[in-house]
Amino acid sequence: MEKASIEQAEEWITRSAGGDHLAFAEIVREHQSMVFSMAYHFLRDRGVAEELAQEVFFHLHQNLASIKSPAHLTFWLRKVTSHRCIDQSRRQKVRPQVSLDDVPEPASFSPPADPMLSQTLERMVTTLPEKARMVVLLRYQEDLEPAEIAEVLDMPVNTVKSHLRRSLAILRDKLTRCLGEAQV
Amino acid sequence: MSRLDDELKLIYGRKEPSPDFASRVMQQIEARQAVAPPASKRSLWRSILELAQVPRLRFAAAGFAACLFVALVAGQYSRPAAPAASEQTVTALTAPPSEGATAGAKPAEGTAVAPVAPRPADPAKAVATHRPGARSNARNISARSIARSNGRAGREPVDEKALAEGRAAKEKVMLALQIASSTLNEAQRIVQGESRRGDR
Repeated sequence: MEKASIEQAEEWITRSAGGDHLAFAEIVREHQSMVFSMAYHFLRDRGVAEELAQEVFFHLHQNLASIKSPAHLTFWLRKVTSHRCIDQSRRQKVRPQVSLDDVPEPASFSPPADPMLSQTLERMVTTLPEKARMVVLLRYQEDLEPAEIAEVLDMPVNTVKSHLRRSLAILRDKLTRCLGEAQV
Repeated sequence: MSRLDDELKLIYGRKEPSPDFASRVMQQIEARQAVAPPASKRSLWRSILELAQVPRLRFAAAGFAACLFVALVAGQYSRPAAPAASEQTVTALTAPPSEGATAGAKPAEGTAVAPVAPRPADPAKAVATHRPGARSNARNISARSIARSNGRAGREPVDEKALAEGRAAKEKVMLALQIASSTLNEAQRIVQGESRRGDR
């Protein structure tokens, strides 16, 4: 985010806290992609993800007074969304109860753009435990460092690193079996 | 960066919600605000919890809790003195006031200032209505308490004459005790207060 947009974001936060609905709508438009993507990638259900994102923004509207800066706003949204996603997943058992071995392997390796491989990888990711899945999501969707992920998820940095390492090892192992000798 | 990383970045690309997402959020917020009651007063618990978040008040609360604990422990230790004090009250009530000696005299420290119970008009009647078991109990209590008060350091020894008089008048006093049972409670409280002051 550039300096001008940071100033604008600060103004939106201040105006929203003062009850300006238009300013809050701007905040929603600015962050809806991030919140919705997190929910969608985690829950794999567009309807549920939109509902959850709406709830997150409603919760933000109630807590605007506690938001100190645009960076804090982004952090707050990531934190609330990730925790709500994990809760939702546990409550509704959205996570498919299939083991990693049950995921069908593609017949042959294709380039990364291959939708078949992407789909397989997505399904592999959904078999990971909730927290590990959220760690992977924050790492690759939001491009966060382990320390930042640790802060968002309220867990030690070493736990984040270990989740990442283990998850990638599982996924790599599965993909290696798919690709044969090709490097993953 | 490995191929797996690239592939993960690809599948975790940003997705957009439906185009009217923001307007739906705003509509929902307005609808909920319309339904929700006006901002209610902060609850007492919430304000107390917020006060506890201030570091100085946290220390003050911890100090207050410590003082309360010490006071409770001290109260527990000082409680065993109470039964002895009540026995002294019984003694004071059972022992008849000797003319001149006790009428105007100031009571010794630690003894009870008990109200003098009215004497029955006919002592014989009083004796007749009294139970023998109660009589012997009263005798035991007064003897024990007198012996105890004799043994305590710093107390005046009760002379034999007064003891004899006390025994003789016991039956009358026992009746008076029944009548003055409610007054006894108050006297007990006074004695407890005095004995604590005396201990200090």
